[in-house]
Amino acid sequence: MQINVTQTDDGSIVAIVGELRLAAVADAKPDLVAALATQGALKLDLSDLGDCDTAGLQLLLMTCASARAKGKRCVTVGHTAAFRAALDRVGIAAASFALQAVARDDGQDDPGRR
Amino acid sequence: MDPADLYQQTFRLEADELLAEIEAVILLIEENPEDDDAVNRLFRAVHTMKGSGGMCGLTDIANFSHGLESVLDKVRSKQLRVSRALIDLTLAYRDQVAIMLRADGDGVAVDTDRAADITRRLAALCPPAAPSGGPAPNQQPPDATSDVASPNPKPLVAAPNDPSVSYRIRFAPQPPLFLSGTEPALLLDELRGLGDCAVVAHADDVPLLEDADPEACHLSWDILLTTASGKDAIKDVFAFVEDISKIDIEDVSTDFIHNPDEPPPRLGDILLRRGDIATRDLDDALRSQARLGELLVGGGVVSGAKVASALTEQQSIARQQLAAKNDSVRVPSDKLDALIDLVGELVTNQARLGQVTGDTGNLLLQAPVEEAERLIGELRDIVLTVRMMPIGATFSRFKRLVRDLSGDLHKQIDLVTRGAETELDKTVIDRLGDPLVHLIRNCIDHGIESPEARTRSGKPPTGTITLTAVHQGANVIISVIDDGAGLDTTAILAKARERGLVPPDTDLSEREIFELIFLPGFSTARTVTGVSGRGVGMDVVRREVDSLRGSIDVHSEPGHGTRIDLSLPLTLAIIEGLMVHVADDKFVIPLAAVEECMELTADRFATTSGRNIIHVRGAPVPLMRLRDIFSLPEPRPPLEQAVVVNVADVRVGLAVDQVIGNHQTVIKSLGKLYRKADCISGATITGDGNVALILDLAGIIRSARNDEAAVVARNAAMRRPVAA
Repeated sequence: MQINVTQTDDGSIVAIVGELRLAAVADAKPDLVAALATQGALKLDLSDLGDCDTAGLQLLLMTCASARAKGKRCVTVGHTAAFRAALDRVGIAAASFALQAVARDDGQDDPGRR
Repeated sequence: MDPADLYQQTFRLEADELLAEIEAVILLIEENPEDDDAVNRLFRAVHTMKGSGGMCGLTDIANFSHGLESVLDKVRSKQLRVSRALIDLTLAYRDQVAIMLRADGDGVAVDTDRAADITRRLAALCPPAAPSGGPAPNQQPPDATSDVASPNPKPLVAAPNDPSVSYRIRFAPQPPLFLSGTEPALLLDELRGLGDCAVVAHADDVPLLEDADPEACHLSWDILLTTASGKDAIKDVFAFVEDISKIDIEDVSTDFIHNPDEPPPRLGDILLRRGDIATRDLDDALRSQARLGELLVGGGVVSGAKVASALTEQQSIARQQLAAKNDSVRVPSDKLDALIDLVGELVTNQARLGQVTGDTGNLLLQAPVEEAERLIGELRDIVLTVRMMPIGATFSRFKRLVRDLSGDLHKQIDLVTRGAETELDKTVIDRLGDPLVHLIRNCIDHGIESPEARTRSGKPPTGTITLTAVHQGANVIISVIDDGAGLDTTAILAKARERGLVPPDTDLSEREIFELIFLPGFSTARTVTGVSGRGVGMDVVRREVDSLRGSIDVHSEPGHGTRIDLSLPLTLAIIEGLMVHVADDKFVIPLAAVEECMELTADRFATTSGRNIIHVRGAPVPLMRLRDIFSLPEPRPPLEQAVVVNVADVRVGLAVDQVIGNHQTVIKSLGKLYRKADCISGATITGDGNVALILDLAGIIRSARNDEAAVVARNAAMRRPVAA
């Protein structure tokens, strides 16, 4: 697992490359916390994400939750078929990631709860 | 009663309704074979027939229903198309079950060959590969589609007889779950192996990344699993994590399958039941939530008027659903009759109480007595409405009659019904069935012409019979209208002369000629068919309608059709009457027929050639004395009063000693001895406890006419020169 952070004018792009499993989540946390501390929006690029277990998915969820708590715009891009399948397997709605954060950033109601 | 008999009796009541439903729905399907909703209704009715029949021990009906159910199931799943053969067989099934139900009660032998034949032909409708329960069909039916649809996915809702049970599993692991080496995804995979499984993770409650241990599990799951494997199998899945997890397994099958037809419960209700929210939270949310209509109007998507119209439609659907749900209690009609009798007694007693209170002049008593009168009036009105039933069920019976008869006679006839929701007393409805059958048979046989004849006279080849029911005051007018050839007055008159029913040299008005068709044994049909022409029918109609205190009106236009109006009272239990006094007796005249009351002064009254006439605003009206009709003792009072009544457009004055006034008349039927009494239709008990007879006005007029005809005939005989 490797985390590549790119700074842009709008904020940070965090690309997660390779497997994201229980063994890696503790290592990944500091990089993600650092990315959350930067200015601007947070974009999680998952296009090169490999296998992801429940702990890995939970890590992504917690990242989004933190961004939300900070009032940060947070989007996930590059949902691969494998990633969607992993979400389906543990019953996590894809909307749990991006939509909540985006919606909060726009100052609207939370559409996931409608 | 043996409980088994009790069940069977209940089943028979239910079965009658199911048969009516089956017949009504299959005719709907015949009109529109693509009506999936109707196909589902038909399937459910047959399925219920099978299930209930089997449950109360009528296995022959259950087995017989199974064959049709299998075929309908294929129609439902689009493996088989609706065909003429299926419709005919369904009707044959319906008739056979009706016979089986009756036979079971009366010990009549059932033609089992016919049932077997229907089953065999039903089985032949199915594609050969399908298990049909019957012998292997030897031919491929032309209308069966061969591309059999893929098997249905396993339903979340367990079908009846399916041992599957739905469980709601709440799986809330403690944080060390991951580190114990457990991957929840694997557990969920295992559950999916047991059956149909819906998994929802609670992802919203995860802590913030900064504060959390990413290796601890902060997720929990709700799982809905439908499985036949049992609860233990589910527990086995969680066997290794039960020490570090909270696991609730709840059987929720009853929440799902009690009525698959109902819409699924609303989100709020489910959340409430699962304890995720409190009633107050739900109420608050619902209160603050904008309605869809408001959102759409606010967004400019649609106008307020359109939303209002859609809302009206929604409410109307809800009302219909409520009506269709038949949210009712079944009560034997004799209990209802007893209730009505008692209320009748109460009304009578109340009248007496009112009279006594008035006589004693006790003011303290007056208020409670008036209050009781009001309450009893309300009670009476409600009890009478309990007996009211929409006439629609009777109407829908005739669809079958028209379909079968028109087919037999090679005619094309549509039946149109209007006012099926019109309500009438149950007794009236029950007794109306036969007269309507006669009238409709007549329309089909005599009224509507053959398609060729219709085309020749420039009409569409398909004739129309219209059945309507409307309220008119205290009566319901039921009309049977056809667009056929109309009544042939010349033929009717010729036939009547031929049979000596009308003297050769008398001229009759059109109305009088129409009356002739109601004479016993009268038929102008040149050939006797299985349908009509035997001269039995219209007199039965007349008799039945008379006994219901109704009247018949015939309109006919040659070449354009015939319209027969039956005017019937809404109820047979209580009528508004006009109480009159003659000698020492009281009589009740149905108020609906009363036009006016007047004093019988000398300038209004005349006698010409032995007949009494009164002048009512310039028009001469025949006058009859109730005293003469009922042979009551003289003397007459110096100034009599006359009540002018109108029965089927015939005006007659009835001379009475005194008009007493309006009377709420609770009708008591007279005993068998009085059944043939021509001029009275019943009796009532007056406030002072005496009996007053209720006049049968149509009967009075009829008997007066007969007397008149007898006098005319006698006079004619006396004038004729006596042959040697």
